[in-house]
Amino acid sequence: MTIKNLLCAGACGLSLAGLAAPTVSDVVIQPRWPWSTKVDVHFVLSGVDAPVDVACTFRNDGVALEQPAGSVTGDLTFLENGAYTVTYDPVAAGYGSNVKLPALTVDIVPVTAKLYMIVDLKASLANTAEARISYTNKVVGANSRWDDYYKTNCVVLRYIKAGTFMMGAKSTESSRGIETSFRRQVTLTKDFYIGVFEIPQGIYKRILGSGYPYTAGNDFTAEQEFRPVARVSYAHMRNDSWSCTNSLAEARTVTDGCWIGKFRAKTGGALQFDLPTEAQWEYACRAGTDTSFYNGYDITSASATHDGNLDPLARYRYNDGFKDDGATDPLSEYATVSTANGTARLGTYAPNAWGLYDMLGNAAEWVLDWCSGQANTEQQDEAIAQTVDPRGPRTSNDMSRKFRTIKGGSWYDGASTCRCSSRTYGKSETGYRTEQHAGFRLCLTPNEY
Amino acid sequence: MKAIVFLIGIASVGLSMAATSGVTRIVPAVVPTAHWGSVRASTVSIPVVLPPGCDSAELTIVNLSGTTVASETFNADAAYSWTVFSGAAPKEEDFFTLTLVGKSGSTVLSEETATLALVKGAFGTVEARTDPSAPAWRWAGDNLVLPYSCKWSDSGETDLSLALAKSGLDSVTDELAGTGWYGKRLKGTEYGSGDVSLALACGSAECTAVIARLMTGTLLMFR
Repeated sequence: MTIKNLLCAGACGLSLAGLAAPTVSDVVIQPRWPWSTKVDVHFVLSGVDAPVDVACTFRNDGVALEQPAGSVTGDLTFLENGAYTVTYDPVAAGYGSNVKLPALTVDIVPVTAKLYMIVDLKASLANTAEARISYTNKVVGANSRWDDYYKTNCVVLRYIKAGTFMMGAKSTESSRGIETSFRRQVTLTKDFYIGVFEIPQGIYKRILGSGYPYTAGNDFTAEQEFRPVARVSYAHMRNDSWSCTNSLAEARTVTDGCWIGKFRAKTGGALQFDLPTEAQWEYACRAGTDTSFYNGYDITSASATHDGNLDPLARYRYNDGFKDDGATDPLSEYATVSTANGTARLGTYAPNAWGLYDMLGNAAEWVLDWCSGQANTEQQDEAIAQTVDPRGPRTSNDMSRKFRTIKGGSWYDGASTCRCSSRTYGKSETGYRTEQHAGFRLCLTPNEY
Repeated sequence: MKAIVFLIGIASVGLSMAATSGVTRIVPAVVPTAHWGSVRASTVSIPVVLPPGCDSAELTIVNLSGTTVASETFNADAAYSWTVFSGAAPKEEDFFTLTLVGKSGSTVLSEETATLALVKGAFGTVEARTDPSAPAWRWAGDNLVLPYSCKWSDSGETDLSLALAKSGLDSVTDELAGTGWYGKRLKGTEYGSGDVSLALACGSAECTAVIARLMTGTLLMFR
């Protein structure tokens, strides 16, 4: 091959990268000898136009090797064009002493990334059939947007890679509240899925079957198919069995009759869908930003009223959320069929960088954590001390009312409450009407189970 | 193993980089790559850019045994095609030091170096040793080409050092950075046979190993 041909090959390869199928090249397999028994595999991925995973098959003399969970690590998921490394640990795979692997090779194949999990409930809502779960590596639906089908018949979750971020409000942030005290670097060690949208009323009602909280005085309407559940109690939605021990086993516990229990059953029971922890929620909400709002802007107002930086992102009190019509019960705004006030339809406003909608405003969102209080408390100190996979304090700061943490603010709140870091709380065990602005979105942490 | 590409480039072996940073950057593939500079084809394309103010540049490539395997002089920018080895796969792992000397007339204005590893893992199967306590773990070949990476530890450090120690010799420590390859000739040197202790340190994390090279012809049998 001549130099001219070589250069042409390079130029053509680059220009056609966007059109080609995902391709793995430049594979170098390298044992870490003499430092370790692990084997690194370096490769280059090109021709990627939507994130891909890679499937690695290690062989010795052509015979496939064992690859139990944890034996292959590294750059395996959501890869774009670039150079990557995966690591095979033959000892973790069970090949210890007296096992020789003299002819180790690897096949690396790009496969569709499981960037989005789609739980399709349409066929199962009317009967006992299980929901259909599928995956895609890009947004699907009309015009490459999550259209009404996905909003009203499906729960769509997006994969979030584990990482480290600054949790809590910056000290310079206007209108910050107690969350300034919680400002610290937090690391999440496990990847997870989180809902692209808040759970809408329609899906909530149909999963629950009976006991739907909105029928008392408010008939269910077609419009409510598109709007988030927004006055559900923690107990009604997932039970309140995460007791003072704060153990993971108890944290997973939901009652069969609550909404999340029924949703798990609908999806086969193996996938332990739940609420996100506060840390998971804020990490997903920020999507890499460290500002008041997830569009990279800080709040500009020192008051709790209107802020132009929030307007494109959220339905909140001063962005048509609340209509002061003199009604004594603000739920009258919520119950209206019109979308002019109250909650907005799912996905009305701009998503964050990771494609999550309505993280700020619309329905406020329950998270798993006990509330650690709005003042100096033992629970607050306990929460602040947690920097790796925080799960909050072991008890609520007020166990008589069992306060739980609520994030994101709602249609009823001003801008200062609708910041990535802001946190409020609600009584978890009382009736649905008490926490009139709180809904939720689902989370799934696959490797935790 | 599959999907070996046929083009490798070494970019910026010239003064365009040195003028600002003084550090030569090696990009060993057409596709942008962040990982180790290693040969992945039998022929390597080396873009040579004349350093500013220079009317010629001399490129020399020396292997681990000290042999100059390539030497070229350029009077203009060029793409030098270097045949690293013949056949489908290299017979032995090696480690090359590339030096580009920029001149104006006979006056040397600049000198830059870069390194490139040749490892068998880019061309076929490798041997994975699963038991560091087994005797075979220790044996090294004529050339020692070792991988290293600060990413192996969770220290967050990027600077590391590699110390070689052998009884009767002064310990030698080389400062390294990030991720890459380290090359050392064993055969015919003071490290030729017997135990050599290695210590790779990245921050507070350290890997240690003891390797040895069997001298050819030392295994005798009597009947």
